[in-house]
Amino acid sequence: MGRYEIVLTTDRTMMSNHHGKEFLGFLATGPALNMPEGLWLWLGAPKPKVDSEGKPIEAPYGMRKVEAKLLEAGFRVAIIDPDHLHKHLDSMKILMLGHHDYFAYGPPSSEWWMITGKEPINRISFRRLMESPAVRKAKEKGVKIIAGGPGAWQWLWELEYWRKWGVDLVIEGEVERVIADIVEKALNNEPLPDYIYVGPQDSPTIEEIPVIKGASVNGLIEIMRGCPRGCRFCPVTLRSLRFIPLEKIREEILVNLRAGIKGVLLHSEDVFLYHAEGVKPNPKAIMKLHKLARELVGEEGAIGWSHLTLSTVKYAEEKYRLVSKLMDEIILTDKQRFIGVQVGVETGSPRLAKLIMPGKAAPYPPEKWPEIVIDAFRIMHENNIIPAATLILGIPGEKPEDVVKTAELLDELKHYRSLIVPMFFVPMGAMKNLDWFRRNNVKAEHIEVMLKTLYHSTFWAEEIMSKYYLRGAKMAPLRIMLKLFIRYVKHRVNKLKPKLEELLRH
Amino acid sequence: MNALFSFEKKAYHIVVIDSESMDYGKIMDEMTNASSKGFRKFAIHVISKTKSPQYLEKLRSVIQNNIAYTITVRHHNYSEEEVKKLLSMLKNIPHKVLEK
Repeated sequence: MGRYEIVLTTDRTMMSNHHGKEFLGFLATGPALNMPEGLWLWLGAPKPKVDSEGKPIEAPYGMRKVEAKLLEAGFRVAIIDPDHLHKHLDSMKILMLGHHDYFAYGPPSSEWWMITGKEPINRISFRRLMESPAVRKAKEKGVKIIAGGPGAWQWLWELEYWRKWGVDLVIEGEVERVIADIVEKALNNEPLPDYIYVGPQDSPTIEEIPVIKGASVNGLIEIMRGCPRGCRFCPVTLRSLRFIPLEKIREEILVNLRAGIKGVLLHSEDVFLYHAEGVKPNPKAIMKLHKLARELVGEEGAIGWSHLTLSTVKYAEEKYRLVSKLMDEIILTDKQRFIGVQVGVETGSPRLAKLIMPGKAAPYPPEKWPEIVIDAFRIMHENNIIPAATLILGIPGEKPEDVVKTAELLDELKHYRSLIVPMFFVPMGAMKNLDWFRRNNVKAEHIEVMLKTLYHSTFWAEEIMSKYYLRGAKMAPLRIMLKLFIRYVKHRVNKLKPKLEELLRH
Repeated sequence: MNALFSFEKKAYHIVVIDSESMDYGKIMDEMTNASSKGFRKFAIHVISKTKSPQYLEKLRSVIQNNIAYTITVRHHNYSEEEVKKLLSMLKNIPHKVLEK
């Protein structure tokens, strides 16, 4: 019999440690290609270790924050793996859902869906959760369902599922300040609103952001919230900028280490902006943060980064030699031979950069954006930093010549070890009221860019997998399967090539 | 009053009496007006014959156009009694009723 009145959960594609390799989690944003769905799901999102109650050892960080806030408020709450929800039907009164991409409308899911015409696995997996006997039974018993997380906005386009599954409330934004009040009202059976958007003025202060109580997936912890760059397509930039103090960071790393996680993944929209003055890195604060991380995880553990901005990479290295210093003195060890990070190239067009992300190049002018990208890629290549870069195609205001400039930039980047993924524009951030980029908007220039990124990424992926990302005997099955998959993709594209070239000519 | 969240108690309330001819753009105009008086939180009450959550379809663009304010959206059944009850609850709270 369960003992939790509030249960937090999500579907399998989110409730996984992705074999300890976050990047593999992206497989769940696409449909299963040329292999059974179960195998595809195992590759991208294997089941996590759980205790006897079904509580995962590692759980998504955002859900850990909500759990911590509710625990501090005195509620009986736990994160439960979706396969173990049935154990808590007796005690459960509220079922809280979290997700990055409930219905596969986010990037890159929507793009794979558009290109292949097949539903991505994350959407299928979430639907399977909501139609599972445990969730159905919970609803029949009167359990209230509250959905939140970064993908909450997608419910506004899925009102039929919202009705069918009996979701009581959808909440968007940072919830730490308001969640206890909401849960209290829900437990007292008071009427809930259908929808809440938490605006910036109700964002939690540093003091209101709790320390997680259980381990997060692959040791991810946030070091700051918000971003000062103001890119128009990005929702994070709408949040106020806050730096998490080192003491809280230390506590969260220790929570993860005590649970058996071997490393730390520092999360920020730009790790090099930790305690920055404006957009100029603060070398002292960055070194201190990494020294702390290394001291805690030891030489055996890995330090990871979630995101960097390319202009900060260039500025940090050229002004302070900070990138090479960090890598040589702290990050690279006998055990850790590289660091992976997500970066945004977005466009190769200075005109478009100026229009949609004038702050992304700062402290350099947006006119220099392509040069900044090339320099940052070179710096990362020389320092064993492997970027997974995104491009955005179909941004409102984009002209064919902008896409050509992006193709030209890709030619300049081909010597640098990296993965580059094109994404179709999804209306988010300050551009969330604009229209989606759709399949019938795809022009020859877009296809050229997509092909260039495919050739670039498949070329580098094999080396990255063998020499860096999936080394060792333990990773051999994954490595083999992914190599086979890459070869299959190359084969399919080569078969399609004459048709695509014909299309490009016209 | 107790039924409202603490952040709704400090909000400007907009009561929308839904009909075929209701212009939902009026909600945004009203939010802009109220924000010039210092309001940053809005509670939108939709009194509608359309069931929940389907009524949100008409409100989607209002929600999507907002990035600055905290917003809650509540559905109320379309009846005179419900309107009276709601308006009585909002008696001492800044609010505006929008219809047609």
